[in-house]
Amino acid sequence: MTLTLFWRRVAVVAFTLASLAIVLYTLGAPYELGG
Amino acid sequence: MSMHAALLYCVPPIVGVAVGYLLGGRLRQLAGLRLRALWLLWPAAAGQLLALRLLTGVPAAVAVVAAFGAASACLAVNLRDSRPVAVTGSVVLAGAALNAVAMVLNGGMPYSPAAAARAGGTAVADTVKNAAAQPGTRLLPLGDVIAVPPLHAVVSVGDLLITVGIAALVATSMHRHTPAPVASRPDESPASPALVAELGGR
Repeated sequence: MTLTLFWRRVAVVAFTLASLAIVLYTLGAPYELGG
Repeated sequence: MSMHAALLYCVPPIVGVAVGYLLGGRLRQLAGLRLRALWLLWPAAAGQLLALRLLTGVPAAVAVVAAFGAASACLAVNLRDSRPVAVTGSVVLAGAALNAVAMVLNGGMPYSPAAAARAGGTAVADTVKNAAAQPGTRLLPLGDVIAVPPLHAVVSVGDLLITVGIAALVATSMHRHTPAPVASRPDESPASPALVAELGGR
């Protein structure tokens, strides 16, 4: 695997995980307290 | 957004990665997960951020509904893909539906003040999305009633379903990646090499 391909995979995985974290932010409705 | 809140939203993918490794999966397999319209989640998040931080009244409510719709659409268009995506996506949408019912009936997600007290942290002002439960609140069990003290948050049953669904999607995608099944008749079965050779000889 070339270094470019490695970083491309890292970017794809990071984007996917970040996008999936957004799901709870948009569809969920937790009450966030301060502090 | 506080550090605790950021951690709260990172829990589903983090748990998914941990479970995925425990099941023998590898993070690199996640690169093979192809979800359609994934980009829709980002304008949805931006819309909700606007609604919670800058907008008020009707514009804020419209932004929340639009964000909810865009994120739901993103999941819905992926339900016809591989079975793991369909199953986990359905769990997430079921959680979203429970949240939607509680919010529509009450004009926002009600939270239990008692649960908020158990969650620790400091109380914050109600938002377009969250408001303290009142005596007339409907279906409070679907509201934010589960205290999560480590993250200073109160979550709902729907939130838990969403968390489980996302974590399961990540874990199964790390374990193996299966492409969308090709439609075939139920009575079709793979031909044996011997049969292929016999038919080819005719």
